[in-house]
Amino acid sequence: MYTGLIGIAALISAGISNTLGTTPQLMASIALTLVAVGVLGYTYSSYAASGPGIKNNGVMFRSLTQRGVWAYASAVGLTAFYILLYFFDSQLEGIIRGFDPLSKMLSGNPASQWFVYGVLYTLAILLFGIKFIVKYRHSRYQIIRTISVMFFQLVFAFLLPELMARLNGDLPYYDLKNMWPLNYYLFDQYAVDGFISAKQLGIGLLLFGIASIFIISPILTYKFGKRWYCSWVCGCGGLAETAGDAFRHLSDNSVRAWKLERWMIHSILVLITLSTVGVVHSYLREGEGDYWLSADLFLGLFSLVVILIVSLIYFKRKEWLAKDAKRSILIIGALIVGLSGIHFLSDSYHVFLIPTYTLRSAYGFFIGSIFSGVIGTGFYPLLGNRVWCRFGCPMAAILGIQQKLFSKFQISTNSGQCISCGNCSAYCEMGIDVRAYAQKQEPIKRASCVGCGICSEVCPRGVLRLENTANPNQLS
Amino acid sequence: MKEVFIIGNGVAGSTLALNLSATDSFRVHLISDESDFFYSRTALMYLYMGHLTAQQTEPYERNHWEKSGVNRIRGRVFALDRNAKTLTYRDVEGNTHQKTYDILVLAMGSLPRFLDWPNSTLKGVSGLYHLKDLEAIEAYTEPTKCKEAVIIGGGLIGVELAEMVHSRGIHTTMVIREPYFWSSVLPDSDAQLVQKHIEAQGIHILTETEVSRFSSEDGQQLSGVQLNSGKELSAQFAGVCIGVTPNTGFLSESGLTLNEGVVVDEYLQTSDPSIYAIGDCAELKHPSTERRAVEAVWYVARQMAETLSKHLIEGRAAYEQKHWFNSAKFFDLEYQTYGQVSTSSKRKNSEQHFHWHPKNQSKGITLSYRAHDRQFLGVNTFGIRLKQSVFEQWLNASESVDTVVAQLDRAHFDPEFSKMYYNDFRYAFLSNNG
Ligand SMILES: Cc1cc2nc3c(=O)[nH]c(=O)nc-3n(C[C@H](O)[C@H](O)[C@H](O)COP(=O)(O)OP(=O)(O)OC[C@H]3O[C@@H](n4cnc5c(N)ncnc54)[C@H](O)[C@@H]3O)c2cc1C
Ligand code: SF4
Repeated sequence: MYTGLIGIAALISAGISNTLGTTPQLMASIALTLVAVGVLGYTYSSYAASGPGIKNNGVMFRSLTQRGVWAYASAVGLTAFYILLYFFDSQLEGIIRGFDPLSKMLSGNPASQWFVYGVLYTLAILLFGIKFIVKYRHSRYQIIRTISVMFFQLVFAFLLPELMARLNGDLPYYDLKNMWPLNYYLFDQYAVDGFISAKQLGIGLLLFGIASIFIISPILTYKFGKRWYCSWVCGCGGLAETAGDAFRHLSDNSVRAWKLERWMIHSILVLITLSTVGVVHSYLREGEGDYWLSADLFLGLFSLVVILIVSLIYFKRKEWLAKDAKRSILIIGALIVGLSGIHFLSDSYHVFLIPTYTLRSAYGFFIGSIFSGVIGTGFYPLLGNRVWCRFGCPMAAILGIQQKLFSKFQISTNSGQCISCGNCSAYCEMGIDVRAYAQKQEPIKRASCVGCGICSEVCPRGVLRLENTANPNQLS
Repeated sequence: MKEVFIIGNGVAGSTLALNLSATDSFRVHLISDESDFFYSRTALMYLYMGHLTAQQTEPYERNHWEKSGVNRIRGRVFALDRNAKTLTYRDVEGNTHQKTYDILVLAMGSLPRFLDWPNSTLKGVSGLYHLKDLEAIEAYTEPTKCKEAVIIGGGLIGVELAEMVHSRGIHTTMVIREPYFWSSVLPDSDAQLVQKHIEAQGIHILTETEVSRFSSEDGQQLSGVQLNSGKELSAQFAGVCIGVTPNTGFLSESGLTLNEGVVVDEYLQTSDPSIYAIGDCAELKHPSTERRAVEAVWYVARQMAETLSKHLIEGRAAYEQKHWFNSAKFFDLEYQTYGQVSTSSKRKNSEQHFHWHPKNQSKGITLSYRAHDRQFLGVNTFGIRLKQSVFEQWLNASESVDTVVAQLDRAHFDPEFSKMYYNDFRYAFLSNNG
């Protein structure tokens, strides 16, 4: 652990060293090596030396994992890093230059602050992924799942976009596995124009983007639950599962937190849907004739889809609607009001009288940067590792609704074997009170469940099993 | 509205209290002396090892209790007047209160068993049952003071306590009366498998050994445990885990029929029609042939509470001992059992066992079946999770062991991608059975 700290210190000093005139490249490589040695050394001494099995001794005693001084210190450190990254990247110039050789090798361009972030992010998933695999080496589910997130991060999020940029300079950065609405700028004018001007490959990608939301993702979620994405593919999820694993027990599992979660995640979903529709609508109207879709046709199509989904929910899942009627009606109401709002109050530059791109950049700032970055990752040691996924991610919201509505995935309980010990609830990163279901012998079918499978690992009585064989029409 | 007083907020008392308070017919008072809120006794080890915080061991959110309408009282009941239908308790401040009940439910749990060894009141000697025991153990096993521990008794609580103190780097020895770990419950093949696993974790096990006394250098703090062999083990902590007995505490003068526990009929009613007993402290007047009159396990306590809830709310619901099941974890080795698998010493010739385990792995399955007609009787499984509902079907249908072996995959409950052992098992079984 201490070597890792020295590594981070070295990385920071790499920033300063620029002004001192030493070579930042050298510093960067030394720093990254030290971080790697630190994480792997920690893994060896904490987990590899003892046999396979659950390794939670002392989790509730340690300062770093129980909101002590170390936890606050690392939260402040991480947050500071994000703030520098987003707003004061010039301060990072020294560090960024250190990554030039790597960047040139991949895309041919000099490194940007985002490239550096990508390298560090990927490295974190790889190193802590190894730690996670060693820690849970008794479980093949955990090993395979972790290899999967490591692979998708390295290849899809990191290498492919860089190589694509090398092959085709027009193509906007596109991480194939990142779907709208997580990738909320997918349908922005510059992106769409970029895709279109990149010809076949670009249009192919755009179509793939649309297909992944409307076809691929519902099918996979039907079969496997939202875990196929959230804990097997997604980069945010990948970081949470690997680097964030040590903080999973900090997620609040009170009923109050659950209520807040539902409100927040659905409001954000409505917001992102409306702002995306608004953005697309306004550039379609502005460039009427440039695109094969007209603004009104687009709105009409979109409304049709909404009506279709709402009526599907209404006729197929009445019970569900009744239970959570208030929320659902509110969402639908907001969407409809929003749609007519776009129609009547929008012109080429405004959605609801607010300039379109102001709305968009506000979303980008508050949700995309502050929430997903600073709070989502920076606050791991204080709020748990899935704060963003749980309270903020619109993609998780959509997949969650699909999971609740029509998925074969559930966590089954082994009849009456639960001893109400509480390990499952404590280590649920999504703050689900798993025990509340297990002790009543009910299966767990929650919209937020990302299927990480840790509840099943930590359960000392083998009560829980993730399954794809549920009757999707049955509610818990 | 009937005034219901429940003594003891363990799983039995708390489950009943929440069920009854969900209807309008009862005013429920839950009196307990150990904690303000129901916590999971089975999680005591996780509390000590730092897997859980105290509040995480509480099965219901505190808010839930506030909303439930259950009147929770912290206090110790010490007197009962059955004619006047009153009970008396002392609260934490030491004041006494008398209350009148319509229905009284005894759910007082167990007490750890102690033998009358000399010096068992020394500092450093403790059982493990209540929160205050955990506090004592915490103090006794402080790493600066305690380097060696002796755990007396080879049962489920014993192995949990061994894991606990071992997790703090304390050299741990288990002293066991039986020839193998827990061979009072498991057949020898299984007991050996478990014992090997425990020893592989670094625990020393002395079998067929008993304790004769505790010794102390200064007359206050434990310094050693003397064995019947005459040998003395140096120890600063001794955990006494030789089983539990029903807690019938203040009832000795009450005139209720007591035996080992509070004797109840199939409606969980004591010899007094307005008093019931559930959980560890209850003893069944007519246990079923395969099961015992006192069964101090979590599941039984919960099932009794569910049955009594039904009986009091809907009327006439009898407690029935169905097929036995249980589960435990020995360090990293999970154990589940369904039905009846006798120990080697108690097994009659009519009961056949087939034991299988893969080489060099802490895993195994033991099936038991009737010799003459091959009816399946029960299963022990180690390191392999099997589905309870499937085994219940088989047991209810008096299925033959051959069917169970052939269809064992149906009970598969290990996590996805786990290695499946059913073919190996089947192969071994068939080659053994011609
Ligand atoms: C360390 C440990 C691990 C265990 N693990 C398992 C396991 O894995 N699986 C399993 O099946 N079982 C396990 N058990 C057994 C299980 O915990 C018990 O069977 C179960 O808790 C019994 O519940 P109960 O409600 O009957 O009594 P208890 O939980 O004992 O509750 C009784 C409560 O009543 C209080 N009380 C008693 N007398 C009075 C009085 N006069 N006035 C006021 N209050 C009073 C007591 O202080 C206590 O709080 C374990 C037990 C221990 C100690
Ligand atoms: S971890 Fe297992 S036994 Fe403990 S509360 Fe959860 S389901 Fe029940």
